[in-house]
Amino acid sequence: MKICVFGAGAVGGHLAVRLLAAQADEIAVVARGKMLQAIRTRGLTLRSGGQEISVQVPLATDDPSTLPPQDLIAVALKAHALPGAAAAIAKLIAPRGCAVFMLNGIPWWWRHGLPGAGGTLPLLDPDGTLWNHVRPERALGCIVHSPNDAVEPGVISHSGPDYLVLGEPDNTSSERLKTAADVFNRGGIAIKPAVDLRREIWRKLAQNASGNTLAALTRLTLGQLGADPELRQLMVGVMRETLAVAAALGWDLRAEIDVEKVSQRGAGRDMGVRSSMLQDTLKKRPLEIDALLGQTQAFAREAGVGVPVIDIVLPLLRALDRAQRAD
Amino acid sequence: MKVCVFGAGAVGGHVATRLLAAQADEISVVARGAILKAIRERGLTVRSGGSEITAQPAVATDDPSTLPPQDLVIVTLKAHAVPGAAGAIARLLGPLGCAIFLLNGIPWWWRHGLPGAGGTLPLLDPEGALEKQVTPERTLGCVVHSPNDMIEPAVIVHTGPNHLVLGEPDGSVSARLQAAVAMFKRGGVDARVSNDLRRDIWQKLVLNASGNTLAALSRVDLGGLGTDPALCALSIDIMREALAVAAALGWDLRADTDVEAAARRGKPGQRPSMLQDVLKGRPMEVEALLGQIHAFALEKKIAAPTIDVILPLLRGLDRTLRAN
Repeated sequence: MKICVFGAGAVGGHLAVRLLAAQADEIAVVARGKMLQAIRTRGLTLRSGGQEISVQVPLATDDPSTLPPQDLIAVALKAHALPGAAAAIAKLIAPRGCAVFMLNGIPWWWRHGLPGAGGTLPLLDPDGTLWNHVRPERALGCIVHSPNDAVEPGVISHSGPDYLVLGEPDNTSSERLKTAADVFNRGGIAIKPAVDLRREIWRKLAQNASGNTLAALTRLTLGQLGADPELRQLMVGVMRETLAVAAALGWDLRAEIDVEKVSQRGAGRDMGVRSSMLQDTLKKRPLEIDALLGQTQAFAREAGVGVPVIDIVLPLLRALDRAQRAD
Repeated sequence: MKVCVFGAGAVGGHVATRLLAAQADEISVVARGAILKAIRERGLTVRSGGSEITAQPAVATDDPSTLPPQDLVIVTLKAHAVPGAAGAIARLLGPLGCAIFLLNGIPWWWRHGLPGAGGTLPLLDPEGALEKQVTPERTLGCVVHSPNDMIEPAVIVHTGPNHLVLGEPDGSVSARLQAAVAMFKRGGVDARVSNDLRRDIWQKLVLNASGNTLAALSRVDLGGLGTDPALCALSIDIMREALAVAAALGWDLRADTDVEAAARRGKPGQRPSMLQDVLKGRPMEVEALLGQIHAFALEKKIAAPTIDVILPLLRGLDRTLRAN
């Protein structure tokens, strides 16, 4: 099969290494700038669990229009970079191909296959280019449970869990979903099927939105946040509000997530872990705010759920993001 | 009079320059490190309203114990640096001398001269060193209305208003208070007396508690805050909460404060002190500007839901700044 990994950051790079190392499919990588240069000169390297895998990337480009139509595109861009790549992704999909979106937080295709009015989410797809060009019918959802850090261009360091949750937006078990899972499996990547993909998105989001956003504002690690009683209470507040919004939308996870326990998880193992949004802040990169927090607030307004802590944290994050982009 | 300016940051440097230039009193300056070195080499410079004043102190030192007893010690340290200097300030005071604290926010001497139990404020004077060694009886309060920025060591740029409001903690108009005001005036520093300094403190603090804190967390200047509707709304919430706390304590400024206009008051490029601190990686005055308001709110059972969220974030950011 022809597989394209679109975006070679920490997650995309990890995926590309495994797929290339398996030598089972024809793999192309879309990357830019220093990353592309590093990939062309030194290939890609993954360090995980004391092992190191290095691969050459025969087909790496910053111009996706030079690639042939692809059976599967694994999109590993940050949420805010997606709309700008929508047209290129759309053109790259083969007639019966599809795109897997490896995203944090709420994805742009959310309303597809749900009862009620469809349509894109304007915070995540402002001009509707993803909805209209890529089209949700050609999208598969994916939740990444794999903490990766690009320590230098083309070199990815991984630690902790390592699996993907895959699903169709309408939760069916389609042929193409099975095909995509097979591709990842051939690369040695563990796949957990989702009975209800959105439920799993909320499960991860409820636990991630709080730590990520508070770490970006305070620049503290997850461990430091968890060890501070006042900040732990704020984390619990953001989690409870996220879970209340999820419940109002039909996914009630409140009995399944122990928010007090989650808020303290950083105090042990993750003492020095810098959440992805903190890494972005320290590197002055754009923050994934709307997928992680903004869309939750938008859902809260629709459902009439009060989210007083998110209402304070979100404007601060948006302003911080704006100030960083202006620098 | 023997007058010591203790701390030569932006405000202290400005005040010292004017007092020195007027040559009316015997002025010494306590400073440290790069600032002390710059003062000894080039003196102090203030740029304000198109003019420049430069003055060279006869005595500038980082060891206050080498100075003779002072009639007046003008303390211009940040609130969080004051407790560590308590012993040195106390030892510097002459038999009839007093210390005047030029502070942002709620000062450590707050409870002195108020009805009810006295005692220091633990957030601002954690070990009680100020209370015990300087003692509130030897203390005058001061609110600074003078935006200053130290652009390089010992060079201060000033813009906008420029005056001090002085008061006794017990509201009396004492001889020493009048003497202090007279000293500032003959030194070229505009100063006036307040017989309710805490009211002046709240007036300024309500604005600072919102603008400073939101700017520090978002890295947006006051102009940017004023044009962002979501941040303006947060700013208004913080002001209203601070005003409710002030009212519960007996200073009701709600009718005199236009919070909507205040939230939009900033101009582009205006960086409040806390934002300057974050950008320079320095500790922030979190407790004087917000923490103590929160403590008062708990004491008086006033709800402050916005401050409840902003304060832990600021304290967390401050911890990062101190660790770096």
